[in-house]
Parts: sequence; structure tokens; C-alpha cells
Amino acid sequence: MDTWAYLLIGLAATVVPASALSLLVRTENEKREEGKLPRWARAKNMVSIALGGSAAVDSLPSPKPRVIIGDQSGRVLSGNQSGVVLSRTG
Amino acid sequence: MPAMSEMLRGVLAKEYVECPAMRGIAATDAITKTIKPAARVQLWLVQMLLPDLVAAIERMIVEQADNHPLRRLLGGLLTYVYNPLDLIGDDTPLGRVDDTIICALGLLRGAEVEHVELDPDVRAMCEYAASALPSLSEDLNDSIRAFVRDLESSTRSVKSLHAYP
Repeated sequence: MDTWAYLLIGLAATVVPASALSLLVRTENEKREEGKLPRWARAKNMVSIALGGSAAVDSLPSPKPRVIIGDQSGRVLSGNQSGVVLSRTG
Repeated sequence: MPAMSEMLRGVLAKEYVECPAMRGIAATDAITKTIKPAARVQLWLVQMLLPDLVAAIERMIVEQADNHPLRRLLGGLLTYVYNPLDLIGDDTPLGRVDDTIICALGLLRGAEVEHVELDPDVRAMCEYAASALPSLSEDLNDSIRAFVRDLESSTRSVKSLHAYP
């Protein structure tokens, strides 16, 4: 008998409040969905979001062509040594 | 960068399997008042151009590395495409129509203002997508035009980070 009582108390303390809270949140979300912003207002909000992305894309580094200089044997040279262009990328 | 256009191709293919054209065309009633079957089919087809328009945007971002106002505009367009909670939610059968038309209008506007030559095929795709705009409901039509206009003017007025050495 005691087990059943504890089980009931446990249920009352956990499942019931959790279900009630979940229902409450769901109802609140549905209400918000009904009263959602008109399209023109959403378009305005969209512009501010897009501006964030546009700054991020603009700050991407521009791909610069990379030239590797080497001598006839294919050895890569450095500094001011003259040689032949081994590869050109970018 | 090209990963996004490839990803979109996969997403659209999956959506097509789940909601083939005959069912998708019927869904156009939600975003338009038009009853002309040709206009409804066009709206459905337009969203299939999105991956190619995104690929064109990605290419332009790389090619026009020194044209910062254009790059910002294109970045704004990509951000719109990424955002699933836009004018038509991307989880609906016609959720990519607004993204496609906005990319098309943005590309045309950017090329015109920045005097950049668009590839003829890309221009044709943009014009086809933009021609679907009058088939949309009036508020959607106005919102899309307003978005492109505001984005273009805002990206032009913002000072580039590149202006500061």
C-alpha cells in the first residue's frame, strides 16, 4: 500500500507538473504563431539578419594567385633568387 | 563555398521525392491568388533554379574580390538563403520560391548597379525567376521587392571593413 502512495506522490511531483508546463508552453507558442508579424515587418527583420551575413562574406580574404619559383631542377627558390615559375595557383 | 549549392541540390532532390510536382503545384494556392495553371507550374519550377543561382553568387563572390558593395549584397543574399525562417518557411513545399526570386532580383540589381557583366545563362535564369514575381500574392510581392531594395541600399551605405587597414 505504501508503495502505491509513494508512486502517486512521485507522479504528482514529476510527471504532472512536467506535462502541465509542456502544455502551457505549447499553447503559448501556438498563440504567438497566430499573432505573428506581417510579411513586410518580417522582410525588415530579414534585412538586419542578412546584413550580418553580408559583412561576414565581405570579410573573407580574396583568393590571391600564388606563384612558386624554382630552378631548372625543380628546387624551390626563396628570397630574391631568380628562376622559373614552377606553379601558379588561385 | 561551393558546398552550399551542392547541398541545395540534394535538399531539393529529396523534397521532390517527398512532394512531386503534381502535389507541389497544388500547394501554390497558399502563396498566390492566381488560377492560371501555367503560372502555378512556373512558380513550382522556379525554385529548381536556386542551386544554380547560389553557385553563380558563390562564383561572383570569388571573382569580384575587390568589389566590396557587390560582395556585401551577395553575402546578404546567401544569408537569406541559409535562413529557414524567411518569408515563406523553407519547410513548406514551395519554401524555396522566395529564396530563388530574391537571389535572381539581387543578382540583376547588383550587376546593374555595379556594372558587372552577368553570364548570359545566369541572366536568363534570373529573368525567368523574376518573371514569376507577379504571380505571387501582393504582400509577398511587395515584401520581396522591399527586401532586395533595402538590402542593396544598406550594403551600399555600410562602410567596408576593408576601408580600415
